Amino acid sequence: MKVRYQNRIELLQGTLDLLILQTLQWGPQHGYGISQAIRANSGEVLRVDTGSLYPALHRLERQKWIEAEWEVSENRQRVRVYHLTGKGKKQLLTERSRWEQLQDAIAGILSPAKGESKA
Amino acid sequence: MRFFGRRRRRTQEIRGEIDRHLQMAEQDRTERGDAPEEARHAVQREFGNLDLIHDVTRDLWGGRWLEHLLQDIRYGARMLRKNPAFTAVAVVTLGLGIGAVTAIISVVNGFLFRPLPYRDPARLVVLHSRNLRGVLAWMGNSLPDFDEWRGSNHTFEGMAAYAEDSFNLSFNDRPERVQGTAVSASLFSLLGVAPVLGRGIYPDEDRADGAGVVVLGHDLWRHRFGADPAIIGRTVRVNAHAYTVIGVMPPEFKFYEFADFWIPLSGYAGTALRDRGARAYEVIARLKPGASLEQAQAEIDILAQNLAHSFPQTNSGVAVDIVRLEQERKEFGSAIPLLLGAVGFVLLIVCANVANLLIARGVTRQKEMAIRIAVGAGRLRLIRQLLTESIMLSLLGGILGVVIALGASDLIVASIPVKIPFWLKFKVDGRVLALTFLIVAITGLLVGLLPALDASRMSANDQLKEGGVAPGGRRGRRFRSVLVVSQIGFALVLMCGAGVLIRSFLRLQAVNVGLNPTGVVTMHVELPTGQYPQPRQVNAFQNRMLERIQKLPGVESLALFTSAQELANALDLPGQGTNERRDAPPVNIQSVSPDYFRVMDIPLRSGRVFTDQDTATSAGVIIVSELAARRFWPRGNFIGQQLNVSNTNLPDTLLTVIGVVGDTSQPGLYSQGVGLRAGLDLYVSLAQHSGRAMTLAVRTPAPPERFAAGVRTMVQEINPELPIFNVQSMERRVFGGLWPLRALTQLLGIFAGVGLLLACVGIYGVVLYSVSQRTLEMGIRMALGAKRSDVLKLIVGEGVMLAMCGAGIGLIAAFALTQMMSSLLFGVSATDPAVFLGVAFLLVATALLASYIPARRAMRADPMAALRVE
Repeated sequence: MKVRYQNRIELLQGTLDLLILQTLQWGPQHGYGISQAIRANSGEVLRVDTGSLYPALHRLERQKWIEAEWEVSENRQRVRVYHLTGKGKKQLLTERSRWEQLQDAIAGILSPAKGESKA
Repeated sequence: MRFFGRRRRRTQEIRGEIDRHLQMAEQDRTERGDAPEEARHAVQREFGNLDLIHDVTRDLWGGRWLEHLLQDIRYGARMLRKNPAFTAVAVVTLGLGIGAVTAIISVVNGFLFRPLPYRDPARLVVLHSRNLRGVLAWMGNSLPDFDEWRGSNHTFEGMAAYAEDSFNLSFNDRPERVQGTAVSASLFSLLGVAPVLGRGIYPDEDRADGAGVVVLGHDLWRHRFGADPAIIGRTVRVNAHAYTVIGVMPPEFKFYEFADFWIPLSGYAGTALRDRGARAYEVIARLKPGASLEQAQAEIDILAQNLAHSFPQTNSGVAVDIVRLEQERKEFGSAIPLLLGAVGFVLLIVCANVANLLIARGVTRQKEMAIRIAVGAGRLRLIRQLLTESIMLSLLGGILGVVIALGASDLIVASIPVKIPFWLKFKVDGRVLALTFLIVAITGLLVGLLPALDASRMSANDQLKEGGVAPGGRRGRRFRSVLVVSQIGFALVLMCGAGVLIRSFLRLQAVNVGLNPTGVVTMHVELPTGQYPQPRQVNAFQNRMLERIQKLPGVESLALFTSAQELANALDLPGQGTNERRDAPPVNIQSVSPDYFRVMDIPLRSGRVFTDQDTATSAGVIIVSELAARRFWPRGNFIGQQLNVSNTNLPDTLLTVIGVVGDTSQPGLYSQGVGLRAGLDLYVSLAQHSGRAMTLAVRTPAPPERFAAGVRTMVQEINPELPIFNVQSMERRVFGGLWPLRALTQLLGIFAGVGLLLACVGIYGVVLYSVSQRTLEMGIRMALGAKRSDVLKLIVGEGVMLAMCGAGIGLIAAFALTQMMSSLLFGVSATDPAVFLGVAFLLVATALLASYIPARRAMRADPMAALRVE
């Protein structure tokens, strides 16, 4: 059953990584903050499964794309805050361009008439 | 350890981080107006399986397998502790099997793999002269040949000659018989071993007129001289000559087989130094680094040919073989593969038994397995868990086994009635332990694999349902039946092997050897040539000794005898030409005192035996056995026949046959196998042909050692320097050579017994389990009117059925396997039907008993109670 769980993470991986990196570009943030930001910025459409979020955060940390530090929050509680590294910024660019390619490709498939009339 | 610290920190970090997340989510919800209780539930629902998220997140950082292994071990240990009866039975069973294997391996290790205690033993070789023509293929080397080889070779770094012998060693007037070796001065440096005390032999001491010096072995120095370092320079007497102690060798050092002291060869050899025909010496040599055995052999071949050319009288037809010393000492009997096979069978039975136990226990753990599957344990993980448990069991069994093997190898050594050469050490050493560990690991896997597969193959759903019939259980039962059948098969093969051996051994012991050894005590005395140079003096000593011992209490009759084998070449025996056949019976010539035939109970067929009137000055007389008489004089009329003696110092050159006595034969392990070998026995009179190395034989009801004590006092009154040695009963002398066979029979008997016992435990377990599974069925049967005896028959029938299947397979296997023991058997066929059927019957009967006990339980069951169980 564990195996199935991990498979699901695998499916989401590319997109989730992009979303996390993008969110962190606006500034350091803790796990809960990241999930809330994704939710808010997507207009409540995208909900990040917490079961996927923490494995993803630690995977990105292990890749050295993000770094984590324990900080004291505004209500004086210790939280683990993530921020983007230089390597992570480069990765974000790669992921973004890959996403855009994918988007174009899918758009091309979804509305083929447009492509044909142009030709 | 750093690894674990890091891992623990990581776990705490993740836990803290996720806790914080939950708190913040909860807080947000309450701020938005949810009730606190409700908020917590909602958050937890949203989050899902917390533990799983912890695990998955942490596992991203690696190190999972080790964690699991530790978990498995901890869990396994808990399971083993929780079930002490099961654990004890499994560990003891495994311990027996592994112990038996380890003991046998330590014996094989002793035979085959122990390095010799010399420097670079791989380069040491021995040289044997071989007779290309005559009957006696193997001969010793002569010292002039040795000098020639040593002087003119290019492939050897060094060469030494030696002769091992036993000597009368006397110190402070206390005589003892000790094995020693006369050696070339170069021997110690050739072997690369230096004395720990004093020095070795100098070359100028190794001359015919050299000083008498002796190097002591460590054991002798410790036991006889109290490890006194001041012994150097003291004098001991060897065969009544004075020898100065010059050195002590290190503890491990021995050379060649049993020797515990070393003296220069030349002084010992005397006239043999220049006698090319005196082939009584062994030669050891060290190959130059890089020189091959083939090069050395080629060179020696040329040297041998040259010698044959120059000295045709003594050297023509003599070849020289070079054999590696290690090879020379690796010779072993056909018993080793047999022992390994038998002990392997025992181990297989043990494995089957423990696997059986594990499957049975697997059934009781089905719920546990189902729960583990339900909470997300993968099948591989379950198998690994179960294998960890079985390997832990086998490790515990291995520890017990090594303890058993330590005791058993001592027992094996103690049960060997002959002196064991020093290089045969049956010790449980590092190599044995390493091999044992490997066997333990394989056993653990072998034992655990089937049960683990069986237990893990179930579906969680089936199991959690109350009372559901587990498909795994049914398959488990089939596995167990197969295991029990194979167990019985193995046990039957072992029992057949042991059975034929026992039967053959009993036959061999009851065989008529032509004399009656019961109640006869024998012991050796040897007179040194220096003190008794003349035969006259020897005779006088012998008469005095017989006279005195006659007076000891409990003596019924007594005799002295000595080998007169040297006459074999001097006697002109009719029909025993040079065209001697290889399988001809050996000629045994003994010189005996008049009462010899009475002591040994050898019947007189015709004529008379020796009397006191046959003396050194009277006419030469000889007594022959029936077999010899018929062979020499096929036309009969034996008494009065005459034999010519050439080339001896006997008073007369003619021996007249005065009597014919019964034949004797010697049971033993011969090259053709175990059997009786009848010889052509010739007896000459001790008065006419005395020897210095003699055996005293006394018919007395007294136990050998106690009687020997009396003899010792008597003999030392005559000559205080004479030791009495080799005290043994005549039975031991006759049958003692069979000890390897006896040991083998005992071992195989023990193995077979263990095998039978374990197989019965197996049957018992399967039947008991089946009874417990079929309680409901039995209840229904009885409710429908089946009689208790019907139920009994049904259940016992199941056990007997298994036993018969096993016995059938086992009989076929035994039929094929016992043939390999043919050469070890006497008077019994390797597939002796009586033994085979008897063993099969015994096995099935025992199986009947083993299934009757649990079956009685089923029979007693109250049908209503049985029905209510479900």
